Amino acid sequence: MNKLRSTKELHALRESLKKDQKNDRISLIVCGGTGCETFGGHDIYDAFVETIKNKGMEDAVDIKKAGCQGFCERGPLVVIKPADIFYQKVKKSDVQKIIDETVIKGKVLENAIYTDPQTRKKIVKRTEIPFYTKQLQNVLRYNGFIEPTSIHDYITVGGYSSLEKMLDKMSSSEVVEEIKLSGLRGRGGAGFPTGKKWEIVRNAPGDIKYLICNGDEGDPGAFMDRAILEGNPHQVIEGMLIGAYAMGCRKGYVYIRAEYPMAVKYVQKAIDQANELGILGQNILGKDLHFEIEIKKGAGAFVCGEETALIASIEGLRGMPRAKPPYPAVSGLWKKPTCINNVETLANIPIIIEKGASWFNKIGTENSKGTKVFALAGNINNTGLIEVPMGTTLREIIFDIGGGVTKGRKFKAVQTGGPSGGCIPEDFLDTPIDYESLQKVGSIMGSGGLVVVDDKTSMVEFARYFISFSQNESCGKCVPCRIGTKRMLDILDKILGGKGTESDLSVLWELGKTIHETSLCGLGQSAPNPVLSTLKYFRNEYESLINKSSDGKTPEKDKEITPENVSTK
Amino acid sequence: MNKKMQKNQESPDIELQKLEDYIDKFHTKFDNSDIIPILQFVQDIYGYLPCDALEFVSKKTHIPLSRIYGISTFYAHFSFVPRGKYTIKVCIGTACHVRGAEKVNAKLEELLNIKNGETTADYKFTLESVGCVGTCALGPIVVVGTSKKSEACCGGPLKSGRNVSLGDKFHGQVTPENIEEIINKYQGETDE
Ligand SMILES: Cc1cc2nc3c(=O)[nH]c(=O)nc-3n(C[C@H](O)[C@H](O)[C@H](O)COP(=O)(O)O)c2cc1C
Ligand code: FES
Repeated sequence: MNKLRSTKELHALRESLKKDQKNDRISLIVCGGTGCETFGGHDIYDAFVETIKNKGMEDAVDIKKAGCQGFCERGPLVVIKPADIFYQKVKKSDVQKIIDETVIKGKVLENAIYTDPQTRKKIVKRTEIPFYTKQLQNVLRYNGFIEPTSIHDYITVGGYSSLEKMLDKMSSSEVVEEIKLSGLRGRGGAGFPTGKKWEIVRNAPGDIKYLICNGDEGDPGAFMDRAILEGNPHQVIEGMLIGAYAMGCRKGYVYIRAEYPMAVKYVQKAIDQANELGILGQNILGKDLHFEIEIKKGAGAFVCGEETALIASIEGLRGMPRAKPPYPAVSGLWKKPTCINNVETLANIPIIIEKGASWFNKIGTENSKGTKVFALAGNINNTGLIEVPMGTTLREIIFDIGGGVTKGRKFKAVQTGGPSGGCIPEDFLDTPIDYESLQKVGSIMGSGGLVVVDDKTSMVEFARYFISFSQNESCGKCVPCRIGTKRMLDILDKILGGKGTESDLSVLWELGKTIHETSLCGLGQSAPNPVLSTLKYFRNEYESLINKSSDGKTPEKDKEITPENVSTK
Repeated sequence: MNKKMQKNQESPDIELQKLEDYIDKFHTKFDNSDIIPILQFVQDIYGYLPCDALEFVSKKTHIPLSRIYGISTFYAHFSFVPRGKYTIKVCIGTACHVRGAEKVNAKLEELLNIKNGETTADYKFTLESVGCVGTCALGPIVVVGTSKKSEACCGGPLKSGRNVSLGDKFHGQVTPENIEEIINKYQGETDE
């Protein structure tokens, strides 16, 4: 690859790539996301490549291994373009048939197409499957269609055109203004206005500033960022470049959890390609823009997703959060102004620059603009990755897109926001998804994990699960979180063990409130949420455990909490 | 968690050449931010953090051993004891939990006759749990980290060589019933 020396050359490259694209060719897109890989997606891909070679059809058919298509439940997935035929649960033995029947004769293979479980209707086209029709894919628009390992693929579909537009037409302050106008808020959980954060970093004194992409995604039950990093890493890099230009950062880091080896590999490859093309490095596209990106691999600590802990981890310290302010935007990595943004936040940036803030802020609700990617998991039929406009209701997501609860069971609750979020009961299913509404019902947006549980699930046990997670991941720096979560766990164990009393519930409540108010970082502050929300909405389950334990007898006299009767581990 | 640094009694003579090459490739002036990548490399080539390797790192980089110890104990990925050829990681993230990960873990403990966090006597399997590996849609998930003998080092309880990470194999929709089959497949594989 030759280095591009100007935006004109980038433009010319895109045009020539587009021309080379043979639109009449059939292309087979095999999903190479980790989900489909689990079902043997790579073997399917290899089988296609071999079959095509054996038949000498290399010139007639394109074959691509793309990122996650979202419908993981149905993997391995194969999409055939331009007819848009959607094959699911593809087996190795189907490969030959797909080539012979579909590619050569244009016939649809009945046994591999999707059947709507509700209407029993067979659906051939991807765009007609309810799972997809109800979505609005912005961030994920190229996910599953382009090869994540090919920068040319990204450029062909229009990638890096926002970079081009920005460098040609916008000043750095105009970029910040545009992001502010768009109303984009951070997708990492807290929902801080991105434009405002950028402005603070831009205006902070000093020459050295850093931009960090937060790909730690530790929430158990969330895999949005993974899919973006694995499916379209260049979009995140483009977002980082735009941020670097706007804020004057010369160095960026992508912090990726070590549990995501494929993401590390693909992002590294994308960085290398961008360097080679002159899209990263010194004098990017011949302009006065210099930016390099380095990957930092996590080492297994949930708290490192918190921004100050993440900074400590990059600095090579124990990943413990510190008190804010000063915020990282003022004093962050090595005490320099540092912007930390979530993967999905950054992936939104090129779209805003491309289509304009006024286009973007028409989507969503008054205070939450744009779309949000969610990971559907748990006892739900259509597990996978979806993207919907803010303001979509939980009911639409769970029943229309998610296909309802598995095995025809009854819906009990949906947990949003991971261990920091709360459990939302059926009564609130018509809550529109946005930052404020979710908070009002005792949960949070979080990073976008949605875990559905059915009526067989014990909510007390579920709450215990989250507290034990938070307790395990507590870094131990502040007392409320370190000891408080342990006590909550002890009390829950007592209740689940049949020894609970009425007053345990009030202690739980009060303890939860105290931990929430006094913890140092977001981990502790939000750790009690699962307990508090279940206490509020499913109190009867706690009570029935307590009543059962008393067995008609008078409950055991409530013991004082003393150092002797609590475990100290 | 086996979070105690220990001298390897059996055979302390691990091969340090590769580690030395790696560290030499770094810069000459080390600071704290180099520790984690170096420890990740150590764990990659030996499969764990051998005491001798850490002492060596400390000497080479002038980063105090106490600091290295502090980092190693904080992050869950680092282990001070050798691990099996295959690391079986049961996902206990929310989505997998809801779908019965606990039962899978219990079955694995029974099959391998070890507790979660332990390694089988023949150093074939280590059983551990992880929180969400990002394929929740297909839970319960079991990830098997496969490794091969490396020429990088010798010694350790496995006399002939240590293990190098070769990447992970994901198994989705695991049940107590089908996990046995999966384990048997690895059990049957002989050392190359
Ligand atoms: C315990 C804890 C874990 C977090 N984990 C993540 C994470 O995995 N990914 C992420 O982007 N933000 C995470 N955050 C939020 C970050 O601290 C920070 O707010 C975010 O990365 C800012 O980016 P945004 O403004 O684009 O959302 C976490 C916060 C806390 C308190
Ligand atoms: S919870 Fe197991 S993969 Fe996410």
